[in-house]
Amino acid sequence: MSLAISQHRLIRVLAFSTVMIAIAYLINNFLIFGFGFPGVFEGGRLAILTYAIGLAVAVGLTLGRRAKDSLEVTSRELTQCNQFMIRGCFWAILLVGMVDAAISFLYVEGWLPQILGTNLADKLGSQDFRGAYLHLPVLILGFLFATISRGLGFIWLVLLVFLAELLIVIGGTVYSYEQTFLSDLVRLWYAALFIFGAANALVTEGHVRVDVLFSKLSHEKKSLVNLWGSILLGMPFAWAILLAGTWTRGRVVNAPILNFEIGQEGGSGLYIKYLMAGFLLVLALSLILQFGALILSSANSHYLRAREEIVK
Amino acid sequence: MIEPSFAFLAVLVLLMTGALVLGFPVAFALPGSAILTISLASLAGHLIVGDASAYFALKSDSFLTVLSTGVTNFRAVYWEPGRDTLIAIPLFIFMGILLQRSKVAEDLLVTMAQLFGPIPGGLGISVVLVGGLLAATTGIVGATVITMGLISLPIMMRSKYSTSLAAGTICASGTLGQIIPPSIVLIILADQLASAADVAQSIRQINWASANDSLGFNMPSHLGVKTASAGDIFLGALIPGALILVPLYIVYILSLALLRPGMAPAIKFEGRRKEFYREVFRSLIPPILLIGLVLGSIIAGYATVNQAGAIGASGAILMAGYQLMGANRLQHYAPVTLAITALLSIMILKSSFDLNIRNPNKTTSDVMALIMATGFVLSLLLALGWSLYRIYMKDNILREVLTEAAKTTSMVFIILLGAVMLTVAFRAFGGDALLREALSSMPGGFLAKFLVVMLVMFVLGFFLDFIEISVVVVPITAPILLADPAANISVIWLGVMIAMNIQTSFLTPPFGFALFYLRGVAPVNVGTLEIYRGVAMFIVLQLAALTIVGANERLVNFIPEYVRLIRDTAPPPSQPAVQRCLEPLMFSDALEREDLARTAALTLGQINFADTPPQARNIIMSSIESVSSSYEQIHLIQNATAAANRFESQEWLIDGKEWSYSSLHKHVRKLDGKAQVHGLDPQLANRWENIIFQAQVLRADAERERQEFRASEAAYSDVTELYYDYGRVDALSAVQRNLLDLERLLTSSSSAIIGELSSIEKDLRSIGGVSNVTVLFSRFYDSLDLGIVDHSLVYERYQSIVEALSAEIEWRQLGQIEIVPALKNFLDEVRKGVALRTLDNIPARYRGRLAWCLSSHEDISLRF
Repeated sequence: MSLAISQHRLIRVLAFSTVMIAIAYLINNFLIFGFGFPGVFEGGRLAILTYAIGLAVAVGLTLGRRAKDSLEVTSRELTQCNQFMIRGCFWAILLVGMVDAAISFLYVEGWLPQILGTNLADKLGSQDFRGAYLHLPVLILGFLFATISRGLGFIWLVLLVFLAELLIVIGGTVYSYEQTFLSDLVRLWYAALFIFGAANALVTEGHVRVDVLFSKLSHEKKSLVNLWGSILLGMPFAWAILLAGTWTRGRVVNAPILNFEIGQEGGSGLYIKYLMAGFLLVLALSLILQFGALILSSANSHYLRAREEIVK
Repeated sequence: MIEPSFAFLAVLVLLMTGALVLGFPVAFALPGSAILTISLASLAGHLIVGDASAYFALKSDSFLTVLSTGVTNFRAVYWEPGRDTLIAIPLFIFMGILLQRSKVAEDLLVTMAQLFGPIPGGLGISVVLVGGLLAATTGIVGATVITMGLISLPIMMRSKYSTSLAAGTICASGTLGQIIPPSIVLIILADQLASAADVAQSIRQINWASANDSLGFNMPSHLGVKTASAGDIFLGALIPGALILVPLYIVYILSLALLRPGMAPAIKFEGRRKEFYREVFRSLIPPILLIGLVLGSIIAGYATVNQAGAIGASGAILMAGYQLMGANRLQHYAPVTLAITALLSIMILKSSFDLNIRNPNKTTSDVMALIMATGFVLSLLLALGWSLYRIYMKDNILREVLTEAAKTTSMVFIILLGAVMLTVAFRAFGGDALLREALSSMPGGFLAKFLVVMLVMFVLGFFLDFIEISVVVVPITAPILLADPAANISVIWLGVMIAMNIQTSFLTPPFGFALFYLRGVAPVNVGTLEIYRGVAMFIVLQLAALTIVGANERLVNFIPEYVRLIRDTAPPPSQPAVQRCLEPLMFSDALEREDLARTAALTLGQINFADTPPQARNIIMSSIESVSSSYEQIHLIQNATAAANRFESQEWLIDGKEWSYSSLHKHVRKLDGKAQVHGLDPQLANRWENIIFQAQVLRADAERERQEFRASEAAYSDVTELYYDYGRVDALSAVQRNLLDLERLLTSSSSAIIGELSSIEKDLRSIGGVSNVTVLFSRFYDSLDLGIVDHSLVYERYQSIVEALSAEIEWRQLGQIEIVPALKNFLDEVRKGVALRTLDNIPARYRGRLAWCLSSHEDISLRF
């Protein structure tokens, strides 16, 4: 039994530290490339401190709970963490999309200066200003909404994509009115839809499996497939996105975010391209959380069976 | 040559197969094994030879660059508008799930069964029709077969259908949804094939450049690989799906029922006639209308595939809005009635008023119509909101549908992302080069390559779902097939063939997907062997259809080609891509009307042009001369082409062997200057090269004659412009009246005159063709700008404008009596023949024949 507990602790601390290191890595990424702090390899104290805190939190979370808690409970907690993050992202993207579409509409029609004054209208035309002083607060507001709302949230993006596309249809066929910002809005929400849904599909068995052997496997063996699959295939996938996207300043995720990249249409489109690059970070982080959860729950059901057999 | 990177290619394939067979979710097994292999290769390279990139095919690749390429390609799935077609997927998934949950499919099936029941095999036929109609919207085999199995298998068993026939019909109809548009798999295929076409295009450019000692981008556009949108592939799948497969199935069931009535008995109709017809109307018409609306809007070019997805989803919402309420009271239909009324009203308004919101010259009635239209748009949205509210309130179905749709969408797209990483790894280890080498070194040319690829897909179809095959196999193999210049297949045809192939695979025992799904929902007394026996004949039908479509590419290509020609965005007759088919049509028409054209030219030439300005006269004269030179060129082009064709159909006896030109050409291209390396006699190689060179010279001759012909066309464009210029006379006279009215104003304040005059100048400029009048205006304004206005100068300059304008009007007026009718007659004649290419649009009478010709695959291998 004591062996089982130490095993529990080991798996738990591994899962927590993977998640915490990913978070520390992300924080560092922005400290280094956004604010010019030195990284771990350059001996940056703040960087080392971030990782140390992350690991300490992971250890604390492991030791701080009753060892008798099953891994299943911890797994559910990680899932809930992920769901909160996704809900926050959903609200954030929903709000940013609507606010930005409204601004682009006013800009295209030339009403922006009349409503907000020339000064503010000009500033909103600059991507740095709009990113820092409009999007950031709206994103934070989105996460505030997430704390008071419940549910998955992102499923409503299906309806939102439909509505935005319907607006394009009506605008085009009835009024002969076609604008870039609407198709940008559709693209923003549709990308968010499948990226935010990736981890959820993992919990709800939404991802298809090739069924040559799987359905005939015992429950224990299934858990084993999930356990090792998550460790060898799932986690590396998530980490590959994280690392390849952010390893240097010029990588596919870092470059657009650090420059607040926008589309070629400028003011008549939405200023959201950098956020869409950030979706890959959301994907990576949510998969790390969810695979962490899957590792814990698979380990739990695997060892549970193993223990039951010993008892027999 | 065996590269060390091939070892890791093997590792990649093994890891992937292992992960897939063990049952880890495909979406993560594909990229996971790719990343694992990339890491292993870097690690091994680092440890063994001290160079982490040693085991990649390209030595410039490293662990991080390969991964970065992968992640960049992930982002590309949603980053740029180029791949926006994929947005249609969540919309169609939403539509499909909503229709399924609101029992539209069930009602449709039951009613169809009653409708067709009395005919022999009627129940089976209705299953096929429903499969074709509704399966189209879900697109994922499992869901369709399960739904159909649950609903129709019990009905068929109760009606004493033979179990094997029932099972076979359900499996086959369930897979129909993949090939009948609008299906999700066709969208994914279209997306993958679009990037494959890009790759194929660059392969062709490289080959063309090396064959012609030129640069790739100089390749004439008609030799390129024409890419196809999802809408094109939808259109291409129409005949094979709806007009070949479905009728084949129906004929089979019908003849079986007639020959052996016991297997598929007719069902007697019970119930009241009148109610039944109402039921037929209620459950049959809306889904058919919906599919018609979705497809029709794509075909007509009114909507992109995405927009059609939104239209389809709206229809599904409206239908679910009454279906879920029970659909048995009049008020249940209130939202849908409102929506239809609003839609019809908008269409009526749209047809008679200008609703363009940006149009600055709207009349009052246009504005009123715009306001009314907005009212109707709001009622349409109200109707949709109302229906959505009903769906939301009814057992929370909206939330369930959204959850399901979101989950399915994520599943599809994460596989798409995952496969991207796999493709990147495959390329990084030199897999694509290896595959290309292997396929091109195979004997038997294109057909062999094609069959191998199709066979691989067929076998993979036993284990992998449609989406996985599309995203894993298509990017790797399709470019090789598309680039082949001898077959020169269309992207659309390849897509439809792949779709039908995998669909057949899903039916084939013992592993066929559809069979598993049916097995899962069928009662225990339905034996597995009975299911196998049932699908056997359908597999034969599928293979027959595959052969028919494979041998007759026009069945796929014709509709997309024809639709392309009738749309607003149709290519002009001068587009290079249509020349190969338009030229023969145009030449034969032109030669047929040679006498008429020459007579018209003669009549025109006999007119007295004394009052016509020299410039206009020259234009007319040179166009008359062009007629003879055009006809001369036609003969020269035909002769030169015939000479080139004759040369290319010759045979040579070289080194004791008979060579046709094309085999010689291919042989030499394969050697590609490597004759010395192959140890061949340089003289022999020289002779070969020489023959090819002669052929090229002959082709170039024909091309030069074509250039001459095109040069003569310029005269027709000019004379057309002149003809329109004559038509300006009325507009000019109207302006002249305004101008003459101004004379009394000349003494008033200069700002008033400038205002009036500049509005006249604006009018003249918008009429056009009178630049020698409009240049005079600035001098007139100058005369008013002087400190003290000299009225005599102002008057003089005003007079110069008046005179110039009346001169312009005069020669046009004089021409109206004789020249204009003769010109019109002349133009009418030549535009039916030699001047056809100067038209803006391809005339309607050519479209059918042109599309028919363009829809065949042209062998262009001799141009490479």
